[in-house]
Amino acid sequence: MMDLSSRSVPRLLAVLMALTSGLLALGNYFFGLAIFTTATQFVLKVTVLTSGAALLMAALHLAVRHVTRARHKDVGSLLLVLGFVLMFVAGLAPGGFGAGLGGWLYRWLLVPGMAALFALLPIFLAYALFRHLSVRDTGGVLFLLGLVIVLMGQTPALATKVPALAGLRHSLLIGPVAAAFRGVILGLSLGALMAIILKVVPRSGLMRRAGQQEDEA
Amino acid sequence: MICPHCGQETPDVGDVCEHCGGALLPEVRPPRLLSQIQGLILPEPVISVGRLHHPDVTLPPALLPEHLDVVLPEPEPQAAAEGHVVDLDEEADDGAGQQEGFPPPPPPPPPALQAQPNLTMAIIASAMLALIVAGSLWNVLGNAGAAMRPAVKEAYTFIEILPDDAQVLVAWDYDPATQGEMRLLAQPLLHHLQRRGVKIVSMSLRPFGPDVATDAMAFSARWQALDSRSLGPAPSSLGFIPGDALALRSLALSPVLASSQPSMSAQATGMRQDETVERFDLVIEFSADYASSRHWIEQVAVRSSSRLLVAASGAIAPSLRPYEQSGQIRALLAGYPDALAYESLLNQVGPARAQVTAQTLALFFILGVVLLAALRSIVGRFRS
Repeated sequence: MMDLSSRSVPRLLAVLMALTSGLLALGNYFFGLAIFTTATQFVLKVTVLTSGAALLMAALHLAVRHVTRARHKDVGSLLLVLGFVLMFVAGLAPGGFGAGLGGWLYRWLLVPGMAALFALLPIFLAYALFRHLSVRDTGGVLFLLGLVIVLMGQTPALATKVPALAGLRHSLLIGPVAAAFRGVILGLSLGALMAIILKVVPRSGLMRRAGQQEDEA
Repeated sequence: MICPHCGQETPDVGDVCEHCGGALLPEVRPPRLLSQIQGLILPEPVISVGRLHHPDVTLPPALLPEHLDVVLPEPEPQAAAEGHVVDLDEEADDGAGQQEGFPPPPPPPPPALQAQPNLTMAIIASAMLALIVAGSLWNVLGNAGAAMRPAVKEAYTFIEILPDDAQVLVAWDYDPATQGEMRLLAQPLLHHLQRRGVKIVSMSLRPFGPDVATDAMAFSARWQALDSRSLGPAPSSLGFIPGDALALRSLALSPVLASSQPSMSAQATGMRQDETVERFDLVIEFSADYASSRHWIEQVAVRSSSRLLVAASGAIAPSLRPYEQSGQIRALLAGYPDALAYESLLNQVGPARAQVTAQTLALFFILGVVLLAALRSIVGRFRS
């Protein structure tokens, strides 16, 4: 008998919604019928709206938490709450971040602030390299070689004077580096597929035995 | 300790608050299956308010006083039966690193050792800044050529062969943080599109995307003021479209309906609601985020005949190379070198060319730092 207790009903509804959305998406993918397209559009809109509402609730929840902390004289939280209110008001103003207060905040606060933080990255990287680069084994030597080739191949003056350097850098990037990334992408995809199969397909005898062994362990 | 339920002070013994009766310790999660099977990773401890507790784990007593900067209470019979319970002060409770298991982080180094790295970083930062400023002021290498990759020529050809009444969808998927690099890529491509006189329709998966696009257009206009051939209709915009992969799926089916204001978008772009993304002759994504590029490939490029051209930041370009090799991305432009190469193809003096000396000096400096560090490591190895 299906248990229709207060806990199982929302779960059942969630599963039904997920199944319906999945079937609609698959139908739209395999059969390009207008009804599937319309239904998929509707589901996508609802999903985006639901996600937006959830995000807004999460932001408000975070703001309330920091308001509580700001009352206890937490300067960081106070700044965060002020920033939140300022950006919220600026975002709601006519013209958004393109004009008025929003535009001013965007041009004179957001862009320079974010760009300045990001510009620190090469400095931190150079510092980390200086402090922690270690050439103690084969891996370290390969890392150093790769780093030097990529840096030299990317330096404009060097790359034009010695085109072979730029070519070597390009070969490195489309050869071993791309192969490694391809491996990661394929591995992740196969792993996700396997996880779905193991969840959806009923356990076979072999899987059951493996599960029992896991439980015993 | 303070009860997490009623907020009143309660004696630090027992598992329930003496005022409200609420549980002082949360429900203990079962240890990870992998840990049990392999026996390699210690089960995760549960951090509660002011406490580090796990009933199945007995910490090696030798570890605790040395590494944790806390005072251990005298072992009580109950605590001994359940495992070690360590009182942590509030500062320690806020540290996320403590949740990762044992052993806890080592004590901080003495102040004398902490000052030395800060000086090194200050020297590195000052030297790099000085070189970049000097290179920007005296761009002596500005007339040097550029290394040309085949993908840059392909991207150039795609735009060059567009019909006169072509529509190009341009996605601005980066934030103001990466604007410095991405604008260098956007400028020559925008310049080329406008020179060809095609209609540009902008959109973004990021909230600040429309503002970034406006900035890039203004920046591009400044550089194009020197070029009398800069023509083309005024660009239109679908605005910010939230939803990442879902939004792109929706966009592939109907760009007008996917936008936040369909009627305004239809009016601005001149597209009908039943037209799909295939209405565009070319799709260009400016991306500083691997995930958004992947969404474009999975949701749009592989399901339509529209060509996808990605101009990516140097940081994410390596992870997009496999998609370029498989043909899912028709041409991938990456970082500063390709921006410079594209400007060379356009025979234009743009922002990338203005940075040649500064980029060269900064990269030489980083190369010097790398070689110095490698030398230090090798010498240190021989000495030891």
